[in-house]
Amino acid sequence: MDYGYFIDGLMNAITPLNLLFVFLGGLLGTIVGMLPGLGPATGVAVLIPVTFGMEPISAMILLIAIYYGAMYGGSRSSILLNTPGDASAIAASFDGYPMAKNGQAGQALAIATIASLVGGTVAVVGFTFLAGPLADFAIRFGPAEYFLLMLFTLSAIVSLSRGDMLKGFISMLFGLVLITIGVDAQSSVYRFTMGLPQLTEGIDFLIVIIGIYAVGEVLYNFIAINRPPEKKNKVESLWFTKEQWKASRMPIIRSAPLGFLIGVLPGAGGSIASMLGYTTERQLSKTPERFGQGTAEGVAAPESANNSASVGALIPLLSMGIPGSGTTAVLLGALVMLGIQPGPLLFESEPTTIWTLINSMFIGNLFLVVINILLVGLLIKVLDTPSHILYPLILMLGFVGAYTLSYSTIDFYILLAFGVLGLAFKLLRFPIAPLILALIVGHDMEQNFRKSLIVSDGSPSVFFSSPISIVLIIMIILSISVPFILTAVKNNKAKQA
Amino acid sequence: MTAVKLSLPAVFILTAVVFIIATLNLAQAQLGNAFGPHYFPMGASVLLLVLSVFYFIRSYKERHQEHKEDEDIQAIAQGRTPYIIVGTLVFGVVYALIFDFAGYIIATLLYLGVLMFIINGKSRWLINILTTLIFTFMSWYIFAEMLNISLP
Repeated sequence: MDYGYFIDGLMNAITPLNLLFVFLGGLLGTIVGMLPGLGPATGVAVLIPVTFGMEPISAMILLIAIYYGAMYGGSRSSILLNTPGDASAIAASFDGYPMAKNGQAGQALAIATIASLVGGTVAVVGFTFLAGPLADFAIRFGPAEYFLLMLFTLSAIVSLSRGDMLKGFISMLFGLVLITIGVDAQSSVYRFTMGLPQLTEGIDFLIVIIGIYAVGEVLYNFIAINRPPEKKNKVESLWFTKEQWKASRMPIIRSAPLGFLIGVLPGAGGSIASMLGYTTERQLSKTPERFGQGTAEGVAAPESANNSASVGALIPLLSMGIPGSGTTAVLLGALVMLGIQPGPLLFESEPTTIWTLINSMFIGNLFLVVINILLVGLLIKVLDTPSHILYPLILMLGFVGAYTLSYSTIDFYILLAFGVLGLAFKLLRFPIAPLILALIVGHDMEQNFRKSLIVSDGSPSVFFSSPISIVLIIMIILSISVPFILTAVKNNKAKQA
Repeated sequence: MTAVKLSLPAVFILTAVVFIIATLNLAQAQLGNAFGPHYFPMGASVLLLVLSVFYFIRSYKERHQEHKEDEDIQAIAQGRTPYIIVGTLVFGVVYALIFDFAGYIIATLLYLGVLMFIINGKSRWLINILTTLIFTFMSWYIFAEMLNISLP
C-alpha cells in the first residue's frame, strides 16, 4: 500500500464539498432504495443528470454513494412493508417483516443497519487489498482475454439470474445486436444508421437505461397504482436487545466475507449473496425453525452479505472495467460519460482518485449509519409518498435526464420506445440485466474480438493461446452447463424419491 | 393473452431478420478485412433469430398452461391501467413534439398536468395542479440555474 496516495485520497475525501456529496448520495440512495419498485439501478439512472457540471471525482463519489445508499435503503421497505425495493433486499423480508409484525420494526431496522455497516466496511477493506493486485493482473490481458472475460460475464449473468436461461440469452443477444448500430470504429463503415445522423454514434445506452429502468418501471408500476397501499408497521424501540446482538454478531461477521467474494464474481451480486447469507446461517443455526418467524440473525446475515457484495462488485468494475450486474453496468455507463474510464490503467494513472473513492466509501458507510438510525423517523415518512404523485415525477426526471444527455428531443422517442420494451420485459419476466450489460460491454467486446483476429491473422487459435484464455473458456463452459447439470440432478433425485 | 405473450418474441424475430438482411447489404470495409464489420452483427442476429424462434414455438405450445406472468398481463388490461399507460405514451409523444418550440416550462406544465389528471382523476385537482407547478419550476431552477444546463 502506498501511504502517500492513501493520505492524498483521505485529504480529498474529507474536503467539505466531497463530504457533502457522500452524505447527499447516501441520503438520496437510501430514499430511492426504500421506494418500493425502484431499485438502485433506477436510482443511479434517474440521478445521473444531477452530476453534470461536477468535478469527475466528486461525481463518482456521489454516484457510488447513491449506489450503496440504495443497498441500505432496500431493506427498509422489505422490513416495514414486505415489499423489497430490489431483488437483493428480498432475503431481508423473510425475518424482517415478521419482526416488524411482532412489534420489533425498530430493532429489525437497527440490526439491518449495523449489519450493513459491518458488511460494507469489511468489503471496503477487502477492496483496498484486492482491487490493486487485480488491476495489476488485468494489465496482462490482451484483446482475446478481454473478449473472453466479457463473454464469461455475460454468460454468468444469464445463468445466475434466476429463471429462464433462454429468456436471458435472448435478452443478451438483443443487446448485442443493438450495439452494432452506428459507425464501426475500426473500418468507419456506417452500420444500420438508416441515413439518420442521430444514429451515427449509435443508440446512447444511457437513454436506453433511463427508458428501460425509469420509464419501463413506472409504466409497470401503473398496474398496481389503484391497489390499496400496504399497511406500514409502526417503529417503536430503535435499538436492538443484548440477546439480539449476541445472536446476530457471528452471522454478521461470517456473512460479510462470503458476500464480498460473491460480489467480486461477475454475474452474482447482492441477490445471490443475501440469499446465500440467509440460508448458510439457517443451516448453521441450532434453532433453524426460528428462521422465518422473525429472528434478528435472519435479518442481519442477508444484510451484511448484501452490502458486502455491493462493494465487492465495484472491484471488477473499477479494476477491469467489467461490470458484474445490471446496476454496476449502469454505474459504468455513468462513469464513462463523466470521462472516467475504469480499468487497470485507472489504478496506474490516477491512484489518488481510487484512494479518494476508497476513503469516501469508509466515510459513506459511517454516514449511512447516522442517516439510517438517527433519521429513521423522517426517512420512513418517504414510504408515505403516494405512488400516484411519485411515478409521474420519476417519469419527468427521466425526460429531463434524457434531454440533458444530448439536447435532442429525438431521444424522447427512443426513451418512450425503450420504456415500452422495459414494460414488456417486466410483464413477460424477461431479465433486464443481460440486455443492459450487453449494451455496455458489447461494443468493446466486438472490438476486442476483431482486434484478436487481426493479431492472429484471422486464426481463431488466438482464443486458446494463453493459460488465462483457457481458464476463461472453462469458466464460460461451466457457467452455461452448471444450471443444466443441477436441474438434471434435481430431476433425477425427484424421480428416485 | 397469447397475443401479448407472443408479441415480444415476434419483435425479436423481426429485429433479427431485419439485421440479417441489413448485414448482407452492408458495405465492405476499405481497410483490413473487407467483412470485418459483418461478423459480429451477423453472428448475434442469427443466434437471436434461432433462440427467438425456439422461444416463440415454446410459448405457442404452452399457451394454455398457467404462468407466473399471467396475473400481470390480465391486470394491465383492467380498470384504468390501459388508459394511464396509453395516455402516458401518447402525451409523451406530444411532449416531444412541442418541447422545442413551446419551451421547457410550458411543455412540462402541460404534460405533467395532463399526466396527473389522467392518473388521479379530477377529484384530486388541487394536488395535481400544485405538484405540476412545484415540480416544473423546481426542476427548471435546479437544472437551468444551479446546474447550468440549457433548457429550451
